[in-house]
Amino acid sequence: MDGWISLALPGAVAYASSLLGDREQGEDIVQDCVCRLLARAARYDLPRDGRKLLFRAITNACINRQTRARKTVSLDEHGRQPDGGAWGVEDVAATPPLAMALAEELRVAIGQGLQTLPLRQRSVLELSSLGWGAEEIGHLLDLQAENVRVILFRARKAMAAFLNARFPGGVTR
Amino acid sequence: MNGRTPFSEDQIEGLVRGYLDAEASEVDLARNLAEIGRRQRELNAGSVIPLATTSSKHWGRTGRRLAWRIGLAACVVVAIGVTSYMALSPEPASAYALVREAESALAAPVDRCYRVESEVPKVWRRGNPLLQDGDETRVWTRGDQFRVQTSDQGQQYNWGQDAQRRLWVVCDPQLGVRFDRQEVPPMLARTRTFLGLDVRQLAKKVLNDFDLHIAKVRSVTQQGGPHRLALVLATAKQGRPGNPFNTAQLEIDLTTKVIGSMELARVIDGEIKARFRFTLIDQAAQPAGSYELESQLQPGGRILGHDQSSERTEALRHVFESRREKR
Repeated sequence: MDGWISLALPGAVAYASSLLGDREQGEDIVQDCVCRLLARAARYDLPRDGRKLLFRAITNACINRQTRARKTVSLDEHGRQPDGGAWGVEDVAATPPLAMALAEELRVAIGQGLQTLPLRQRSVLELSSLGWGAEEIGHLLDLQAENVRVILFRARKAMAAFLNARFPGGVTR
Repeated sequence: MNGRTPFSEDQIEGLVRGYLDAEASEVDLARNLAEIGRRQRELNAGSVIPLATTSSKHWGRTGRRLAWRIGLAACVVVAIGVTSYMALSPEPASAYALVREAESALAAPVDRCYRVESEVPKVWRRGNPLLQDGDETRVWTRGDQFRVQTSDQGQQYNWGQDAQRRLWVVCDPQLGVRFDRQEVPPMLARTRTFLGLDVRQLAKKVLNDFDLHIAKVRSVTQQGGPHRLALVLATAKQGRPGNPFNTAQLEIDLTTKVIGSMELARVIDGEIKARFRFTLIDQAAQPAGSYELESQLQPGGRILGHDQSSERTEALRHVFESRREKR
């Protein structure tokens, strides 16, 4: 399979998973988007532009999925028991240990903080952190670059507030 | 507070980048690439829609597809679960009583072996590395334990669930993977439950979803004596999506309450999309430990468990891929 996919895929899954707040859905979206891109390989220079096209497709797909009117209910939720077990099976091995290392604690907090942001803010902040410029993000999200900067400013501010509330004394870094 | 600083807005993007990088490092690249390859092949192959897609929109696509790979094989064990389907159905009373007794008989720690015959679309088979057309598939059950054996071109594939409800798959005579009860991947856990491996949960799931009745009773002579066999028909109630099968037939011995045969089918617009038939062929007691992974491996065989999760995932993927390539 194309090398550009291997290079772009882990970051793409992380990005999509963060936008959707769910790793499984994130992988699903990314796999779908890669397949769609490959189906149109003749129209693009994928080794050169594949990563950018993929992130663009993912962003649109995630926004579409998140803003879709109908709310779906997963089988897990459908069968969830009063004690919290999904059909009596729960991945307790994935439960973070009580004595979580600080780095892990911070990572979790960042993930949670991102989930508190509106989807557009989250997308802008994450794309910016990945090196996208305001113009590129604006083109992707159909926004003026200035609006992108405003959204980015708000996102940074909200995240800083979230993290400072979570770690009142800051953290050792 | 020495060495501690509050977060500033300038640091946020760096922190987010670090977060995304850490998340990316945990992505199973090989599995995702394999799934992309599979989706491409499926797109190129044709248009038959896997039953899972039509059966429930509640599943995520990835979950559905991966779950069905294992799940189609899992449905051989619906032989256990469907008994519970019907045991809890409210009418008619005679069918209810009969199936409930059959369920009790199945719940006992007695070994039973069913031969499994299947009719499914070709595309569906390609996506199912553990249950393929032309294979001889047998499922041994003992209470909640089961062991599925599939012969394919001279090679045998085994997987099952042990007394501790740990799911296991034999990769080769020297290697097996095992998931503890608490760590079974959600997709497999859902599949096991959904397709009937978790009897009690399945019973709850379908409690209100099936109508059943006794269609006929016939007399036969077998094992040196007369037996009366009742044919029980079960039909999924309308408006209850989410089950892979919407009809079932069971033949139950009125004396022993043992299910002699069962057929599960998914029928859409009068057309059979998939059908599985289970026929009881053996009730010989199996050796102790025969539902344990250890007994399936050669002496000294290695078992990948919780502590080798990455290696375990890769080994499982290799089993699927190698089988698919044989086709």
